[in-house]
Amino acid sequence: MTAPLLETQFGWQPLLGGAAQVAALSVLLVAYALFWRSLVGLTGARKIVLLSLRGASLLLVAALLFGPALVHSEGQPRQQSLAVIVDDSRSMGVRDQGPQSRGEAAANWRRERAIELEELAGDDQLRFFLLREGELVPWDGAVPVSSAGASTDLGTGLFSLPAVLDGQLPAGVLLISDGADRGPMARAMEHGGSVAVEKLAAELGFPVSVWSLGSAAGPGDVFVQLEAPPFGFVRRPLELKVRLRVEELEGLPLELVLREDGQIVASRNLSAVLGETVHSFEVKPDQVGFRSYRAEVVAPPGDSVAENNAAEVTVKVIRDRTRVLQVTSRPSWDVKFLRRLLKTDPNIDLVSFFILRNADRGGPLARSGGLSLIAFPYDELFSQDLEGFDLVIFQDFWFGSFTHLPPDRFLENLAAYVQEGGAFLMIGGDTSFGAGDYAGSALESILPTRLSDAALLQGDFKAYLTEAGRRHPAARVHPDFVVHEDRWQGAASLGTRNPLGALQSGALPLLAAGAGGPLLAAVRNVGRGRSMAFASDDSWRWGMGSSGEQSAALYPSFWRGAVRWLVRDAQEEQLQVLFDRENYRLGDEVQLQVRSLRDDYSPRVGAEVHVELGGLSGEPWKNTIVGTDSGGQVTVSGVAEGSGVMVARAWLATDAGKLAAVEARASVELRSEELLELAARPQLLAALAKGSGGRVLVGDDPDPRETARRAATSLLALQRRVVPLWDRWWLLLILVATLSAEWVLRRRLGLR
Amino acid sequence: MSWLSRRSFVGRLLSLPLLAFAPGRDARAGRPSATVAMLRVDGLSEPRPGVLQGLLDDVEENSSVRLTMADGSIRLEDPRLFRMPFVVLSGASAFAPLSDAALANLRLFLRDGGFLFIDDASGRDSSDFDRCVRRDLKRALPGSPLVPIGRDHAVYRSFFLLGAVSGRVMIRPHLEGVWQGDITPVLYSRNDLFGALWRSPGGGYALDVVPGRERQRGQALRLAINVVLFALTGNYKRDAVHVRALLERMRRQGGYSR
Repeated sequence: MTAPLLETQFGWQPLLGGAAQVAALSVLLVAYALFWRSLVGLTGARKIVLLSLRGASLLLVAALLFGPALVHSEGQPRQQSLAVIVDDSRSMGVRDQGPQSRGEAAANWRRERAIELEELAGDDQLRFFLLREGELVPWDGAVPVSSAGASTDLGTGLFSLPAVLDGQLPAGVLLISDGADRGPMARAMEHGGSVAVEKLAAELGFPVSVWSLGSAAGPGDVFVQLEAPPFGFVRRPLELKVRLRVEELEGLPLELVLREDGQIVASRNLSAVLGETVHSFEVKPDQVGFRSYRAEVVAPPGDSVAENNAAEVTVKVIRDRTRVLQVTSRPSWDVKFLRRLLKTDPNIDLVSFFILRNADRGGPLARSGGLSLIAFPYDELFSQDLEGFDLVIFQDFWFGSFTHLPPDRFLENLAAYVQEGGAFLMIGGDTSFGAGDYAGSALESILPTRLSDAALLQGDFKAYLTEAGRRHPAARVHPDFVVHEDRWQGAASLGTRNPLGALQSGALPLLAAGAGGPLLAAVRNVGRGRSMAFASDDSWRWGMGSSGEQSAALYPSFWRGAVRWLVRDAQEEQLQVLFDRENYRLGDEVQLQVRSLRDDYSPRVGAEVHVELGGLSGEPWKNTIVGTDSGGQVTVSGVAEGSGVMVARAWLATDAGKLAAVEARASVELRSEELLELAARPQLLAALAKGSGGRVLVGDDPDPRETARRAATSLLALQRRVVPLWDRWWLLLILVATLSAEWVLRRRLGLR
Repeated sequence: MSWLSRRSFVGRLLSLPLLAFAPGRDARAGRPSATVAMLRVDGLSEPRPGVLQGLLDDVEENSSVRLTMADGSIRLEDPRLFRMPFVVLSGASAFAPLSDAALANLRLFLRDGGFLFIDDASGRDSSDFDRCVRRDLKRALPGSPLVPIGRDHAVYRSFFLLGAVSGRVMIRPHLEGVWQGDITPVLYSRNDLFGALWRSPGGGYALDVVPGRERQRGQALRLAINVVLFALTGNYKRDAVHVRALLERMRRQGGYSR
């Protein structure tokens, strides 16, 4: 403890309050001005003497009013802090300090220079901090530099230092960093150069000395970035751009691999080119939902950071407009009504092909020419173009109506199309099902039923929902279950039916021709696609109003529901789980929205939903059971605890097991923008030192005692004594003397 | 071919020579794909009896479509109307105003996808039939007036590519129609279209066609066939011209590569 120190400062003890002081000062100034004016005509030394005397008098009056005083303070110099701040961002993990990383070099230097650091501190307090994402974290020295900070923000950290030091400015700061800043300092450097950084640093109020680690040329590194649109369309090309930046590793062979949900979908062998190159990949997500893509390069020798060799992104795959292909060999009311319905749906792109003339090219009038017909591009449609459609409808369609060639190849293509995620609907008619020669074909293998050779049957009957059909979304005609059943009960009768064979594996019956009668409609999940059979060409009767509004409403609601189910419209899922976004960083909070619907698509209130959050494999990070609210919804919070693909699974548990299990996916990125640029930025650090009055410490092992520090000007006050100066008798005497002298002089000059 | 049974394979082998000479209209297409009816209206007699059946025969002969006539004509009040989405009204004289029930049914019929073709057989510029048609269409569809339809309408290309209207006489150079959104559920000819097609019991045409004679009759037959095909295909032909462009666009987007 040093001896008490006496410090004397000049101060004021005003007689009046703030406003009165101003008023009094104004009065004195006005009085002086009036006096000046009264001396008009007087010149030379006499005027100067009079003005001086009056000025002196007024000054003395002012002194009496404002009360000058001496303030004697007794105390001791306040102990200051000296801070050593080590950048703890990820770029400090780059191993370009010999065998050690930048962060390790800083930690080792601190241990080896402990004595010099004590000497630097002297009587002041030496404090160590890690600077992690703009925040100063005390570091007691036992913990090594972790290099875990996701970004560098030197400015925010330095400006927050006084607050960390209980409001005191530090005597000095030694900053150990690579200067790879991502905060205000970097922006100042980018926009205004070193001068802007110096200007910013000058506002700190304390000197910052710097020791710059890392090479300005950057270490050897391969850096991968993956860019994708925020969403893609199912079965449409999706362009992924891989930005590959190579530092110092020119000419090395690299293998760039692209994975979709963990499976390799493309790979390219490259030769490393210095700087940035862009590599485009085109993928086609085949189903609605979430797809995770990962671009990676195996770390080549000399690569300083393996962590930035892979990048991941999750793309939400949606349906743009449902593309439907409708083909028929013979226009009919059924064809016309379905076309009219699909054509007026704004969410559907409909491509219709009607065979208007037979293979024998029609009668004499048709042969005479002048037809408006175009060739039916069946070869293109069924060879190349299938993947462009979400749904293919054969409505009374028979290949024999336009070609004598066997359609085997086309039917095999159609079957493959459905197996790979497409949807197929066959609607009845004279040339449908068995009557269309499809029995035994590849097409039969993907239909919900076996095919019968029997021809179309005629005779009125009513369609009845089967037990499975009552709940199935493909036959749902109203959200309200009562209305749904009423509509089916009020359905107009149909007059034709194609006999169907037995249900195939996995197929569900939807409708029967008459109560308990033969099968009329069925659906089936086939591979990754879906198929449906509707064995009548009379459903248009449901669309005509003679049977009342319920029946008329049946037609559009039935076919729209069937199409939605066939193309896997997300709205048809009874249990839905959604992430609040598609891409996260490690440690981010995750919000999951879970929604559950009953069979009648009303909210499933109070349902117990099992929710898991985790990676593609391994134990989930979160496993919980939640209850849905009155809207059938519930929000589940979690944390992105692992990098890569994050999967949310939800299911309703029943005695029969899992019901309506669903999952959603998102990507979790491990790294941050910190690893975008690994080169050190000594210029930024030098400008920071210069602007703040600090020094640049150089070399691999600089002496910490070179750190700049400001003088100890701060006192810890122990006692304070005020000595007024205005209450002295001689001040009054001087005032009387000046006034008297002025009076005498004025009298002698003949002034009033 | 792995899915073919031996029986199917042999069957196909035997059928190949037959297929080459197979009639275009396959036996399996024997059932009419749709039914057409003549409308019966109080006070109106059918001026061209039998002409519609002859037209349907021509349609069947030249296209893939096979239509059949309903047994007898049908009244608008008859609920069977809704089983026949294509009805024809032909007349040459005045008729009594349609009942409210008939108008309501007509309104519902047209809203739900039905199609009405009207043929004025009077051959006069100003006819009582025309006046009555306009009167009742205005009552049935007050917000949807009869308007001339342009040459880009699908009825001019539903089967034959036509550049003009035709009929027994040439009263109007265009057809008229009622639009409901993108759909034309009513088409109206003032040119006695069916008169040009009407045959006498002997088999020959019953009426002369003026002024274009047989060429005009041929055009009238083509237009009548187009009307029937239009009733079945709606605006298919109008967007068919866009199909190529749509497919091309999809190909450019790469949606087709397999």
